[in-house]
Amino acid sequence: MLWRIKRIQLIALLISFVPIVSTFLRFMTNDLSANPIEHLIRSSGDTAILFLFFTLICTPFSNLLRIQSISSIRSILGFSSLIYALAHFLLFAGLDYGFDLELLIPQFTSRPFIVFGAIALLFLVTIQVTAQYRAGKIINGFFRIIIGYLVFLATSLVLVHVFLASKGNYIQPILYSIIFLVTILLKIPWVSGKLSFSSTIFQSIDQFLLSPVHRKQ
Amino acid sequence: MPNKMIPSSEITSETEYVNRRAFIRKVSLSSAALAMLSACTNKPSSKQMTGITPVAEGIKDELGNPLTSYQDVVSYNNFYEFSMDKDRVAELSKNFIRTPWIITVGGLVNKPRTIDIDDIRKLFIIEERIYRMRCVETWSMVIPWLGFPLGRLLDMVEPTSEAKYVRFETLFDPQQMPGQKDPFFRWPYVEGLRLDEAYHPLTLISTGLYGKDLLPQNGAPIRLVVPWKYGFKSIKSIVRIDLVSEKPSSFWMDSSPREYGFYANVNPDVSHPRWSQETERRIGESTRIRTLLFNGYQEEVRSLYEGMDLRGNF
Repeated sequence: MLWRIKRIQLIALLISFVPIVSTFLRFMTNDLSANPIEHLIRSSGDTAILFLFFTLICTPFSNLLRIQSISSIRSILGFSSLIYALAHFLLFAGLDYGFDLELLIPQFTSRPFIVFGAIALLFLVTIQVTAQYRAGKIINGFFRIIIGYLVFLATSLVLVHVFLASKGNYIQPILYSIIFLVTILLKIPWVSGKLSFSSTIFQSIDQFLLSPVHRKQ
Repeated sequence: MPNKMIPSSEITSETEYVNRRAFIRKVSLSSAALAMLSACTNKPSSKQMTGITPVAEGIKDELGNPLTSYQDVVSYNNFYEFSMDKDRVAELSKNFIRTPWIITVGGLVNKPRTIDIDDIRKLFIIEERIYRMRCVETWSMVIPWLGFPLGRLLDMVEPTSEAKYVRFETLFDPQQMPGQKDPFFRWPYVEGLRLDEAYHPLTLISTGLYGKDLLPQNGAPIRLVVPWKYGFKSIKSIVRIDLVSEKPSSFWMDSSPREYGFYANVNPDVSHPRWSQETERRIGESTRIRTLLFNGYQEEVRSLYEGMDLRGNF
């Protein structure tokens, strides 16, 4: 049940709720700027990217520090990223354009960055809905490998989406691109092998975080 | 070219003429409007936020659109000199020094001069103009500006016959305007108009809004307002105006020539790579509205672009 989850997983769940709760509080205090719909679309997109990158760095981070706790929250963070990405899309298509196809279709044809974002979202959905079939080895072989790498393709598309959507301020997408490149570099076993190290402090923190929230007496 | 006998800036625009009685009515309604404005918003009153009581003579533009609330006008600002975050500009710019403020008007003119902002307020009759402001980011506002037609200022310096364009420049002071340290842009902010656009009676030099002097976030102490063009053409905090013979390149043309052209006329049929321009959200409203050609000023400005390819000259 819920109390069987690991401490680190509970922390990850709580962190996943921080953006939505803070947005709700800002909504209640009328602090969503003069253009709240625009604000909601942007902040949900930013949050989706943040959690996508949390998801991406889980595995390399775990390998580097030789700990398991971080990799156990990968799926929670990935799911949060997808939820915020879906919210981002629904706020744009629904709240901003009222699902009015007459208005929405020209958005896709005249604004390339929206197409990149939409394809990235489709990939993220694919990764999520196939997750349990891949884990249960129902999807195997070639497709399993392809879907395994799909997150990198999705992230590349997201970066293009952010670059094209930026009006002059490229600091954020450049920063994300650097993190993305480092993540890919750390995928190479030789690189991660060279850099990884172990420490007893990390190991004991790891053990603490991996233990369930509630232990039966 | 402007008619030298009757400067075009002196001609009352047709809408103003037609609406002259409505204007008088509006003045008498202004106190009622204020009461309505404060009743309509559940936000903290603007007086609490800025210590300023907004006063506008009119309550609607000539198409019947109500004014955007003062609070929204002074809190949601695109002013990259201070921040790219529209919600932070007001706070970051609050200590901006705007007196003394000298504007240099020169270039291809017979009588170049430098004018202090206080002299400008004395030299020109300041009037209220309620204009729609359409941002290229597909949001818009209705703002009661205070100002005078740019043509009156140009008449004072007497452009020579070689003058074909007007070039405007914003203050460059990275100490006060931290955004100007951003290396992605070529500072200072520059904008330009064709001379006939500059002389158009709708083209305003603004020194205030809602009955008060401009606040820094709105382009204090003096800015341009060209209501039929996207908001970025209406350059803020001007220190220099030059009459030139060649079409000037603007800040945004330098930054992204594929996205921003010289004319930047509001046009729902010409989309921008990042924003389809067919619709806009009026700040304070929840649903989108259709964008109008030349931002609804087509009757007044159409003749400026007779025979011009509006798509090619975006």
